[in-house]
Amino acid sequence: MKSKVFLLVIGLAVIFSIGTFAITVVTLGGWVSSPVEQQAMENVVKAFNQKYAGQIELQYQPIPGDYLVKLTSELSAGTAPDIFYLDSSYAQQFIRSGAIYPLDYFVQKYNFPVSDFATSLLQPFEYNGHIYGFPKDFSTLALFYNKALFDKYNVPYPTNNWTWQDMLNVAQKLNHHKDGVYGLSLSPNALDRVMPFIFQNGGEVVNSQMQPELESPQAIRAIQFYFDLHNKYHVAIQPSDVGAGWNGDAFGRGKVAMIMEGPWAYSFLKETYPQINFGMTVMPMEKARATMIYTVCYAMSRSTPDKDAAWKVMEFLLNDGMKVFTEKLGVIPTRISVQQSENIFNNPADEVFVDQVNYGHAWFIPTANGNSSKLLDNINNELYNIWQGKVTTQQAVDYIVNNWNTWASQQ
Amino acid sequence: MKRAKEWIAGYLLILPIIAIIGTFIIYPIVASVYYSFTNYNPLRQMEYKNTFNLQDQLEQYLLVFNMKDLNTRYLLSQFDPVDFIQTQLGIKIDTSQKSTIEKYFDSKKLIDDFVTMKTNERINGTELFSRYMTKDKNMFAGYIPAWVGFQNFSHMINDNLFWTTLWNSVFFAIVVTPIQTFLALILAVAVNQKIKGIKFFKLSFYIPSVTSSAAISMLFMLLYSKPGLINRILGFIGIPPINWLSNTSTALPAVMAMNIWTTAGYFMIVFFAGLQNIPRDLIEASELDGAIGWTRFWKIIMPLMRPQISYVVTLGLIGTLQVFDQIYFLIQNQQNYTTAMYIYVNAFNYNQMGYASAIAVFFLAFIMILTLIQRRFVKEENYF
Repeated sequence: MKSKVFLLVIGLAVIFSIGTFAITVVTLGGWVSSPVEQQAMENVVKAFNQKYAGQIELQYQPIPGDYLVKLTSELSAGTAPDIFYLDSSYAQQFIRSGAIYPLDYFVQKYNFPVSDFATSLLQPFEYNGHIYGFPKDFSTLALFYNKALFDKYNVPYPTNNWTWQDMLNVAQKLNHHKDGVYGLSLSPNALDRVMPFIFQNGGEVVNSQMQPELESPQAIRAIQFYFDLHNKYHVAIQPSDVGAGWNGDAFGRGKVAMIMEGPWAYSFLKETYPQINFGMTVMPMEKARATMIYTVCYAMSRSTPDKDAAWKVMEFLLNDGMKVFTEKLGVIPTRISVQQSENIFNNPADEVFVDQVNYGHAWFIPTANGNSSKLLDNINNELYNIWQGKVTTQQAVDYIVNNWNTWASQQ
Repeated sequence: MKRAKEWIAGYLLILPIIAIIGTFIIYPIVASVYYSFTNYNPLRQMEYKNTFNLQDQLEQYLLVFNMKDLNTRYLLSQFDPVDFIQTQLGIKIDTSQKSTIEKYFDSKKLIDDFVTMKTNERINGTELFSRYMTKDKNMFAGYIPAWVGFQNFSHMINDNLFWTTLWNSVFFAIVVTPIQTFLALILAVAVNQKIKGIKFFKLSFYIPSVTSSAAISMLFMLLYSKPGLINRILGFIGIPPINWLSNTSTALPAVMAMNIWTTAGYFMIVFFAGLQNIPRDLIEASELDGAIGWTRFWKIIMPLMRPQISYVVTLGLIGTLQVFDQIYFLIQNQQNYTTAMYIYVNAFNYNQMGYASAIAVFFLAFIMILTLIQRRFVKEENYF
């Protein structure tokens, strides 16, 4: 009896292992920002598995917790998913280390339409003329305004050709400390939120030699204006001042009249604060129009056993997957063809975010070795010192520029 | 013979603990000392170990879409071994490895094997080099972090932020350790009284130290927030609300207060056990001599508690210098990091394992020296 059971187990194991050998398994990993997103991704995975039944099996393994730390340790142990998300701000760190597989061959072999992507969206994922990832979707920053607060204090709504001065004037009219209402909520320690102002004023953050350009009068004036909103005009607060975790939260609580956030804030507000009546428009301008572009790509691990199968997954994600994500989550598709296909925008507000892509700047700071996390942490820390009034803008910029190469160059 | 047997049996009995300590304590310490002299990048750990189908890799590198009618000479002209290894296989090579490859890599053999489909199998980087290098194969056995000597340490000395974090750690320790020790002693004396309902107090003093650090941090995040309870209470006496954790001047003291609250209860147990050990007749004798109240506390209890005080101060000092979890949860600004947090950030966010190891090694030595000095001052004398 016992030996029969044993034989059965062996037999089943053999059949099972033959089964798994015949079907290539590809794993997909990424962070999950909302249950809706996870469900959308599960649907995409199901659709893929139906299409490639018997050939490729796609397994979705979301990575919870601290994504960057988990991904680093999984890549070093060779246990990372075959395909995973990579954010533009730190993609180069991984690309340069050799952990990401270049995709040029597949592009040629399968005639993948690279020109369907805006060049500013591909730039963070290129190195040495090779492409290491294709963006899944992108976001830009826009100006959100609370219509109820504007009506209450009888202030006209923002227009799409507002200047900084217009924004400041209106913010001053909306600022009612006694009612607990403030003009703006700003991120006090984030270079990516100050950067649009620098670009709007005709400044630059880094030049083509990867050296800082923050000491130019245009850049200084922009940084000065951003922090003056808090330090001098007292019209801006940081989210934690009203007990909020981030700008969108502060806005949702009705404590601030304006914020500058991306499409994630739109879905957050609709879900968490449905009673808030708000509008959206493009970022204010000064000498030029500018906004930030945040994008995330699908990248392929070097440890992927069957890279051809993994590419098929990636192509599916960038095609059918992108359409599902656009419909279900309201994210902005990176492919121009998907953007233009009909009925893709179920919310008209998306237009504000898409319209700005032409003058948007991709969020990443190029450095000689691709490692920018340390540089950014140090810059953000110094920016927060301006916010707290511990240093002047000029002092902070001098400090940042003097230390830039030390922070950027290590390893 | 018998001695040898005993000897073997003894070592067999302690083998499990030696294995555990060796794997999880001794090896990591030795490894981090080694890494502190290198530029170890964990992301490169797999570069020689990743397996690939060599045929596929060559097809992809040479952009061959069809295996028919291949021209070996043309392929050879298109093949650059250094570029193939770096870009296609993702193996980084230094200048000496580069010149070795240029000299001894047998590109012709590889291309011949490719055309005749002999490369159609899964191998890893090490195997590739052992097959196609005519000489110096051992230079490509695996990823070896480059030796940088004292570069990490000299960088550390010039890193302002490192000194800020070290000062934060020391500040944390010199404020928290005495207060938590004293508070724990007071609490122990208090719960040593015979009052009704003392169990309730014992429990409530001890609960913070058995609660998860994450849960306590979340609780204090709410308490310390600008519209939080602490600011409301302060509001009654006319103090304007403070953003305790965002403000770089108040963030660290706020975490210190919380740390004292969580650890005092834990050390209270140590003192409580010590108090139980003080002979009853000694207390009675001192009472007859007129030592009551504070006199008894300072002149009788304190000296008798010296071994426990020494133990608590040593553990407290080490614990506060290494504080990480509460900092990780609550501290928002880099300038409020403690050294332990800074090590973590360098290792896992900046991918600078070598530099992080250098700080860790320095910090280990620093804590060791501080502990030795402290043990000089608080001698562990036994009165019994």
